[in-house]
Amino acid sequence: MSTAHPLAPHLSHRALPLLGLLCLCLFPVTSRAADEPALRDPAVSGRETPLRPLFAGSWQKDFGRSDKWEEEVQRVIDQLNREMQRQGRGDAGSIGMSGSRRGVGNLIAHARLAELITRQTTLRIMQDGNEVRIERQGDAALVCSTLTDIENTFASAHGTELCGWDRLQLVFQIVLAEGVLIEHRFSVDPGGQELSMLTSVSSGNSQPFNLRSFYTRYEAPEDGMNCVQTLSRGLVCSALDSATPGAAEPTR
Amino acid sequence: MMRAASRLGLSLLLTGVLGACGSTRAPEPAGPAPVGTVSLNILQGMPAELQMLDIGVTVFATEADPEDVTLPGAAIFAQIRDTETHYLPVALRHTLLVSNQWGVVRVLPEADPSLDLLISATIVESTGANLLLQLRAVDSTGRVWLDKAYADIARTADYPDSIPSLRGGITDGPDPFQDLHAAIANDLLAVRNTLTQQDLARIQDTTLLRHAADMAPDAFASYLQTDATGQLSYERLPASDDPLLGHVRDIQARHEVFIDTLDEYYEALYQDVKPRYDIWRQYSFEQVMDQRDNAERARNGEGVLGTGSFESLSQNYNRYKWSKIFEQEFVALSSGFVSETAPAVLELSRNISGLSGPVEDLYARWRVYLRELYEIETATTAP
Repeated sequence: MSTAHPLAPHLSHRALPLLGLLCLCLFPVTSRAADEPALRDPAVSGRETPLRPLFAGSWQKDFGRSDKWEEEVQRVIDQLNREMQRQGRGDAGSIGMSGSRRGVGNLIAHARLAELITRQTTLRIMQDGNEVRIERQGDAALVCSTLTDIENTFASAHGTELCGWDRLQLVFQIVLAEGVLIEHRFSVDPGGQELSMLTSVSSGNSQPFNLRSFYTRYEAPEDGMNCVQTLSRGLVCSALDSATPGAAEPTR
Repeated sequence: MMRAASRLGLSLLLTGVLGACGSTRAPEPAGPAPVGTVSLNILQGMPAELQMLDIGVTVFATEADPEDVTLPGAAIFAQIRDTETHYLPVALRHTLLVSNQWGVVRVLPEADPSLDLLISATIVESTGANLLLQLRAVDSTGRVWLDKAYADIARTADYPDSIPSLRGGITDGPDPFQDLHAAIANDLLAVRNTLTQQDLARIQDTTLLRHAADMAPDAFASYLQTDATGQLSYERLPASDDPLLGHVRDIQARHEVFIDTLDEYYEALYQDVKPRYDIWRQYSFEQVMDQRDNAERARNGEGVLGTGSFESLSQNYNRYKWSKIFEQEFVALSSGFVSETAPAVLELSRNISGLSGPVEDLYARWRVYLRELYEIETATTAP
């Protein structure tokens, strides 16, 4: 019980971006701006619940519009070089200096991690009056309440996760061991047909590496199965049209 | 409203950040030392009449962990804990019966004056790996027999090698926390062994008087006095042929049928839930063990690659990802446990309350009914 969390030494500076998220949450949504996406009151009328954008649906990645991590890395390096040249602290080869080389090494590591965790070509999002659940193939679902502004959603020895709402954006912040901060920021366009996910990876005082992915809505084929999780028989599925529940072979 | 929400946000944020400092839901049990391996003291043959005290085990209470409210699956785990408040008393009852040291042992919705010894408990912690109960046993005179915490730790050997499946038939594995129940039973026996024959007789007499006073305070309350320590005592007893006492005994017999019926319903719930509860406990045990191993590995920096490298970052992310996936699966399985046992819990509710309210309400109504019955019967037989 008294074991110190491995993230404890990093908390002071780790908390800053989280506090930033909190500050943004303090701005009330007073009116619906023209570019705001379709809002949905997830709860039955009469309950004083915040309005949240509708994320629910099946989404497929738009590779044409989504960032490519190599290009983003190159863009950031070019930008760094230009800045350094402006400051007169070196020539175009300044990234060869040891400190900068380490910085570029971190940048590439962050970029590759960002690419690794955003590889999913599709997302399936469920949303009701209580929560938004973003299911990603090969990764844990991102789940956040629609009722509270900030929520502590997961904590283990390997990292912690918070989620919250920054006005109309749904934000997840994950702090890994080693103090790496990952942020996913989801938003939908006003027409509700396009989903944007901005993923940022940073550590220490490093500049966040940002990778933006765009998704378009699509009609996922129905799997025709109704599945119920049971303890004793695993996931029990039955065909939706079947008159006999449990007709299909249970699967785990 | 917005300010309130913001304050709540700050509070949750701080809870989250501070929680991250020292949490991971420590699997190590807090509080008392575990009971260890305990051999139940079983009596061969019949106990003496005076030793056969009747025991009531009330449905347990739970101690909600405020931290749990913010965790994933909080509502599901609250339902499991609620089921445990009905399940664990029956498990303790079984152990007391197997010891063969007592009279009847019944599970009750609340304290009942018709029993010699009442056991109540609060579930402080219950996972597949740890069980911690704060238990209290008080006899009808008010003498406290036990008021202590009992902890037990399950070990790998307490569970089957693989998680059992109901496909091959209903599981009936041993209780991984049987040592805890045995420790309670042995401790109760140790207290009883310190009492004299006279003490035991006074407990049984006091039980009768308390029950009589509960039915007919005007006639019997004056027999009982409360001393400075809060214990009940009596100076004299009603005559054995006292007609009012005869009525009380008649009504008590009917009351016993009633609480026996309640007890059977709790037993039925136990039997329904046990196979799935055994499986859930084993999943829970494995989840706690996995958390413990992960925390240990993280503490030792085991397998840490060069800090800051992509390999190190991706390894950290994968560990994080799998710990989260494992927890989400455990929440899903727990949800499966709740949905599978829901019919049994509903059946208990239907049987006991006849769909007219919770069991506690029915029990209270029954007590009022008994008093009314007593008044009617004594009025009709009065000269």
